[in-house]
Parts: sequence; structure tokens; C-alpha cells
Amino acid sequence: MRNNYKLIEDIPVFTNDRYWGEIEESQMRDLLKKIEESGFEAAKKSIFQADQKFYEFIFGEVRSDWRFCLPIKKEWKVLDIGAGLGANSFALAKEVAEVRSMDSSFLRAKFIKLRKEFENQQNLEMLVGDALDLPFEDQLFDLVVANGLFEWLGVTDKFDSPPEAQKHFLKEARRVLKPGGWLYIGIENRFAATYLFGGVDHSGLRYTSWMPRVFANFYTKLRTGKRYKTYTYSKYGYEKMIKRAGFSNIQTYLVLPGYNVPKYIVAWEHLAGLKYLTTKILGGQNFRKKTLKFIIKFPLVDRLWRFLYFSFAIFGQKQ
Amino acid sequence: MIEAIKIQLKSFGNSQKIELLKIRGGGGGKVLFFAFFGGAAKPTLCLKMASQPEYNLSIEAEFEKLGAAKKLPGGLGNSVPEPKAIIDIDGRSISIEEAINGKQFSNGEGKANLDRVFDWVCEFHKVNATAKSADREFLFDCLGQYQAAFQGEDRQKFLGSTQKFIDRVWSENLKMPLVSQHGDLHFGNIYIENNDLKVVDWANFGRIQFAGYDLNSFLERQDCAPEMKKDYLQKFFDRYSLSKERLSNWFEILNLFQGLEKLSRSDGYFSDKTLGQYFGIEEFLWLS
Repeated sequence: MRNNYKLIEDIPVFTNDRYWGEIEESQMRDLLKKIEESGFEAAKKSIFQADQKFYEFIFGEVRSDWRFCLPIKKEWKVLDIGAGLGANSFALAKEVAEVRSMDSSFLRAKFIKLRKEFENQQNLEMLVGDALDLPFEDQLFDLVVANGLFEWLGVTDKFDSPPEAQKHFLKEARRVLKPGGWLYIGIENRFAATYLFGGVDHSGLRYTSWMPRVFANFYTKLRTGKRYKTYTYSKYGYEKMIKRAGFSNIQTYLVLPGYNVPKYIVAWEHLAGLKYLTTKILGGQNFRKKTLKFIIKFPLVDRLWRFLYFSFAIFGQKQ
Repeated sequence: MIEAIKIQLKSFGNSQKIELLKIRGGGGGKVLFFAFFGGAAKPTLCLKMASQPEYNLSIEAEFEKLGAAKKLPGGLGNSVPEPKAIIDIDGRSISIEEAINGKQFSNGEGKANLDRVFDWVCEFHKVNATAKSADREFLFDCLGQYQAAFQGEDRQKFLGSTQKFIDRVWSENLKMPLVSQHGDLHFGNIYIENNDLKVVDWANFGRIQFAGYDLNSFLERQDCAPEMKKDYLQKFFDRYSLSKERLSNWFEILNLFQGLEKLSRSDGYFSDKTLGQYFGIEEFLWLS
């Protein structure tokens, strides 16, 4: 690790603090205060009682089930970029030699530090850093995790175009990986059916991911005053970018309900599994779900349906 | 990991092409996969893998219980999936069993299917009855299992409330037969395959509990209307010739355990509101 950092409350800080997250910054501060005053156990209990969904988001084991797609070894060193509140970091730390848990927000890194102390997870280290300027030497890690990160990389002043920022990130990720090391990206599908039916995109607006970029940019500027920077791609779009960055053995999985909670994981090529999942396992009796369960039995529908899936877990290996 | 599993599974079928569908079912450190052979539309095998090596023993224990359940007499063994093998990949135990493909119940499913489950439970209890009856100490021991979920001052409150509850419902005439339970009977673990009823997830099989626990558990999770639930339980307990008063007390006890089971699955974090909601026994709460 480079040594040009400030040490704040024992957390190396390499970059300017930038808060983002599922809860407001003020709520995060309140939570940290509660942990410091009443202990982590009490805070954990209060999260559970207030919002079980949020509790599962932080502590749920299933959140990192994507890891079973990889041949993870005990001696691995892992870098979790955009680690958030540590769901993936802590799950991986139980299985590998070392985890570096990096986030752009000091408050979130602090939460990870307090959780590390509570769970006595000695092989996990947190830091505040920039995904576009990784403070590590070359060929250090066996796995780089980018869960829910890729779409936000374009929101930076360092690059004018989001694809350039994303390509630079892939280059950085490749640099810090050992030969044969793996990159994992958990990400939304640009052409997900959800967005076509009015789901809100990362821009905060509807339909922008489906629009041509020029229109999306114009529309977003009109509505928000800002450019459209949260680029997502199709399955083939991601694979092309990752391949061009020097990765091979690229594998894409469909994950449900989403990459953040990969309860169900089906390989892209496994049409029978996709059909079985949709018709037999998934619940829901509303009109939309019943229609989907009916039409997916027909030829070609299953092939097309993959392209409208909500999100992907994508793996690439450094050549 | 997935590739390593596929390589091992090739010995179970003739097909070189094997695909896995990953499902996490329930908690307890288990990760579930369905294995599809040769592009088949339905899975052939169900795999249960320990999510971490610490869970290996529970996977192995469940496999053993499945084997025991498969040997249940009177045709009940046919309702149990066939255990195939236990394998080890990278220090993780994986149990392999027959995949059950069939229709599951939905909420509010027709009475005919509830009747089928009822008949199955009665038969199951018949072959699994023990020679013992529950007594007051057994009730305390069972409730004691949940004590660990309460900490500090809450534990004292739990013990105090438990004491009051038992004193209220217990009488010497309350003795109830004990049976070896399935332990996790709900509509997610029951299938109808080729018109046969199949029951999966035998991880808790063999736990000794009060007669009626399995049935109560199933009806509770089925969102069964209270009157319908009482009818089924009444029919079930009629076999034991219970008085109305004893029956009423046993309904309360079963509801208590059902509530505790639900709460203990929720990572052990209890709240006054949750207790009242699940138990429906206001005086049990910390308020008393």
C-alpha cells in the first residue's frame, strides 16, 4: 500500500471523503454514535428492530453468495472496492487470508472498523480511497470485488466521459490483480425490463438507461441540471469492455432478485434453469408474473428474457 | 466452486453436461443448488452445501436424518427424497439427494390438499410416537432452549413470564404424548409430485416435541384461518381423547412454541411488540 495517507481514527485516508449510501449521512452519524455509546451489539439489535430489511442488507449471509461461482482459496488476498457497510468484506474475510475493504466514505469505513472490532475479524483492514486511483502496488490481489460500483465510476471530475472512467477502473483493477486473479462486478442491466416499465435509474429519473446516451444526457440536464454519468450496459457491452481491458474467461450470471441479494444465481447459458426458476420456484400471482410464467415456456422467449433481466454477476480473469 | 461441483457430479449421471441453479433456502449456513443433467428441463439432484466449513457437521447430520427418514415404515419413506451421497469440495461438505419436482401449495390452497397433509401428519405421528408423555419439567426444558436468545435483564423477564405462563396453563392432567417431529413442516417443504405427497428438509427430524407441534406449525405458516386451524387440531387431538379444557391449554402452549420458534429464527432479537403479535397472549409479555 502507498504511504501517502492521513491516519484518522486508525483508518488510512487516501482521498477526499465522499459520503454515499442507503441511509442519509446524518443517520449514519447517529448510528456510529449509538455504536460508540451503547456498543455494537445494542446497535445491531436496534437496526433489526427498526428495519429488518436494512439489517439483512448489512449482515445477511446471502448477500455474498456470488462467491460460490469462484474457486476461492484460503490463501487469497481480496480487495473489496466500494465496500459500503462491509457485507461482502466480512463474508469473504471468513474464507480468505486477507481482505482490504475500501470505500470513498470515511463514515462507512468507520462502521467497518467498529464491526471488525466487534466480530474480531483480524484479517480485514479498511481504508478510504479512490476506485480510480487504487493505492496498491501491482499484482497484489487474487480477487477484486466491485459490487454496485461500476455504474457510479463516471460520476467524477477526473474523466470527462463515463466510459473513460470505467475503462480506467478496469485497467486499475487489472493492475493490482495477480496473473490469473479474478474480477467480480455486480451490476444492473442497462436494458432491464424494470427500467422500461418505469423503474428509476441511477440518474434518479425514469427511462434514462434505455435512451440513447445523447438523449439521456439532454434529458438529465433538463431535469436535474447535471449530465448523465451513471452508465450501465447490456450483457455484451460489459463483456466487451472487460475483455478489452485484458480479462478473459468471462462468465456472466443472472442474479435474482439482484446482485445485492443474489438469492438465485443462474448461468447465462442455462436456459432450462432460467425457465425452471421462473415457472417453478419464483412466487407471485399477479398478472405480470403469471404472464411471464406462461410465455417463458415458449421457444425464444427464454433467450430474449435474459436480455431484460435486472442485473448480472460478471466474472473475468486476468490473463 | 461451481465448476468443481460439476466435475464431481459427473459420476452421478451419464451426461457430461451439468448445470447448476443456486438457491439459498432457509438459513443455517446452507446453500442449495439444483443440478440439471444434459439440458433437462427439471433438476435431477438437490445439493446442500455448507456455506462455510463450520457448517459441515450440520450438513452431515441432516444427511443422516434424511437416511433415517427414508426408512420410515408404512409407506411414509416414499414421501422422503432419496439420499445419494456426501462429498467434500475444498473442505466444504455437500449432501446430494434426489430433487423433488412437483407442485407446491400456495397460500390459501384448497381444503383437499390440507386434508392430504393432515392425513400424512397423523400417519407420521403414529409411527413416531414415543412411550413418554410431556411433563412440567419437559415444558421448562423446551422453553429453556430459547433462553439464550434473551440477554441480561430480558432473560430474567423471560424466565419470570415463562413461570407465570406455565403455572397458569399447567395441571397434572395436562400430560401430552411426545413424538419425534419433522420439526419444520410448512408449505415450502411439501410438494405434490405425480399425485404423491413429498416432504423435504429433514434437518430437524427426530426432535422430541409435543404431539401436534408439526401440525400446528404447518397450519400456522399456511395462514390457515383460526377456525379451520382449530378444527384440524381438534380432529388431531380427538385421537388422544383430550378434554376440552386440556385441549384449550394445549392450543396455548403450541401457539407459544410457534411464536418462540419464529422469533428465534429472527436472529434472536425480540421486542415487546413482536412477542404480543406472535403469541396473542398479552399477559405473557413484559407488561405483566
